[in-house]
Amino acid sequence: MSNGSGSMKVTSYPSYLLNLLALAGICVTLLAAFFFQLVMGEIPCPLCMLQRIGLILVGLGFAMNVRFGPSAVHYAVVILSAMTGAGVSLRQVLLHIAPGDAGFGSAVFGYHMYTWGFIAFMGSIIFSAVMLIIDRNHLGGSGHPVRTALGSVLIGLLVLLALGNVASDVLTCGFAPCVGDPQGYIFQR
Amino acid sequence: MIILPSIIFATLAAFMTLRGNRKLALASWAIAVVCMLGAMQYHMDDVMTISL
Repeated sequence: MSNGSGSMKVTSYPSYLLNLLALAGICVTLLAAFFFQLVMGEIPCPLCMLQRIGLILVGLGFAMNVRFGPSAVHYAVVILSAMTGAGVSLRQVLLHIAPGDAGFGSAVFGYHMYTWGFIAFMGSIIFSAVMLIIDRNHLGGSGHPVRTALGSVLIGLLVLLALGNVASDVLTCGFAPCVGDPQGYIFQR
Repeated sequence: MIILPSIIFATLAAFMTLRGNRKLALASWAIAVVCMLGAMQYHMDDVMTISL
């Protein structure tokens, strides 16, 4: 599963598996966002794109814990990214909080995606706080990259999803500032 | 255009993590967050229907 004695030690930590699961959760969330965009035809708004970036940056923190071993710096990456993303989510929640407002986009299990985004960002912060306690004696990182098959697949998937968002942003906004409520891709206008 | 730099640097940070380059990954993450804050400043300008 791993290369080298140092990596074996890191992958034996419970946090390795938990960070791997958290990274998988972020990837599933980003895949769900692409499902709604490509299958359901919901074009992402600028705030939606910013929340996706927040999720990618949160996933990056988990990916760094998987790749380099648990570190306080990596958990700080998760917390700061989640706080930034939560700021965008909360702003969008407040934009549609007035009674009678139908919200933006379709609801999933009763909540709109920006509400789920806020829950995901808050969950990431709580997860990191708990992991900082669990990993309190192993926060130095491995000092060298830990290469495991599953870790590489998930981090590779995160890179692909981030690249997909680059393409999505260019196709939605072109090289001009994004409009608040996009009605289609640039080749449809 | 406003959002694009933050996605590009986030992608670069993820790629550097995949490659095993921690320093470049952290630097790209920091630039991505700064770019994202700039994009937030630009796009989060709607008038809200509530009083805070």
